[in-house]
Amino acid sequence: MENQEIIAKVNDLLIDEFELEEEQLVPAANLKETLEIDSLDYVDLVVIIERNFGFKVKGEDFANIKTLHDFYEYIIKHAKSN
Amino acid sequence: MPSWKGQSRGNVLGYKIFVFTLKYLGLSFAYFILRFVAFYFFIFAKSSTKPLYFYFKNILHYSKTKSILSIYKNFFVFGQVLLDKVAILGGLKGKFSYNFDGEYHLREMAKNKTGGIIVNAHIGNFEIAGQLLERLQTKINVLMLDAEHQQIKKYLSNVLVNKDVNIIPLQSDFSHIIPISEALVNKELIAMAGDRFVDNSKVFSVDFMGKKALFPAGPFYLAARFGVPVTFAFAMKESKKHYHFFATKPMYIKKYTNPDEQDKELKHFVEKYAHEFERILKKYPLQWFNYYPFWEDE
Repeated sequence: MENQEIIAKVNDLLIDEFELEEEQLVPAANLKETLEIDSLDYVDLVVIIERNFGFKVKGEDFANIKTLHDFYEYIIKHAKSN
Repeated sequence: MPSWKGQSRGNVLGYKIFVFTLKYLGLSFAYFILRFVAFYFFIFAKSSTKPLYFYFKNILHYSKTKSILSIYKNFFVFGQVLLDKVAILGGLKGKFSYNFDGEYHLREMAKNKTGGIIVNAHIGNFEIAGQLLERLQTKINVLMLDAEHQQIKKYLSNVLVNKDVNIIPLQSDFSHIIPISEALVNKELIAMAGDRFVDNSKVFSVDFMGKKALFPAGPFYLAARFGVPVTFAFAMKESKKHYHFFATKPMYIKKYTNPDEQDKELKHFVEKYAHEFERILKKYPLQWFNYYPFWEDE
């Protein structure tokens, strides 16, 4: 999958699963503060990533994911190496 | 109720003193020393006495004198509970007696390998329940605040005797969700407090002891997401060397795709939990160990 395809898929999942609007999905958006992804959403995120991108999320990865850009980079890196 | 900032009373030095005293002087002597330690905290721990006074005076409606006396008693009981915890973790289980209400439910969860979430609270001595439940012969995971965990686990690692108890540290970046998810997928049991949360956690405001307080939705959503049962459990100190363990019948929480329906379902279970928590706390009012403003209007 190309980077743009992965980003589009991530955006689709965020819109479908977390009821976010497309215009909210800018790379600089902070997951917790801007997109209001809360603790329950993180539970869903873990399940959604495993189901859609085929890799297991590790606890230590969470510390480095603050913005949507970080999240895209993280998925791209792991989905491609999978 | 503000979110928990990750600091708890007690530190490694405190645990070292406890272990030394227990090892060389015995539990009764340790309790005697504790009277002075509790008095010290009663005089100097202003940040803890203020919310405790609110609890005794405004929540339990004690008189001014009884509230002040109860603050001292609360510190003393908290110290006893810590001493008991160290004694039990250190292998002195036989010195205590226990009775169990609802152990059967946990046995069934372990036997049927349903996995599940045991929701407890910062009352009584739930940490010891993990040790007591070793007779279930299943792995128990305990979600613990990271600030407590890092220091205390390091020190206690050489006195811990039950290797079936796995501690999962609660993190502000929610990374604890990963080991929790893995444990639930593997149908293991996880004990977690239902009365504390970190920033950005989803919470519900519900009636608790006559006033509104915030409780996290997380434990209940995890149960719904992973299709595991949830039980409310508490271990309360009844006398010097006796504990009473309570566990409710396991319940399943529905998973909805509609967020409003899901919130309604989760809130219903948070209310059930708060109700059970209140019932137990009213029986053991001195064993309240949340030393910070807990209620919304506090």
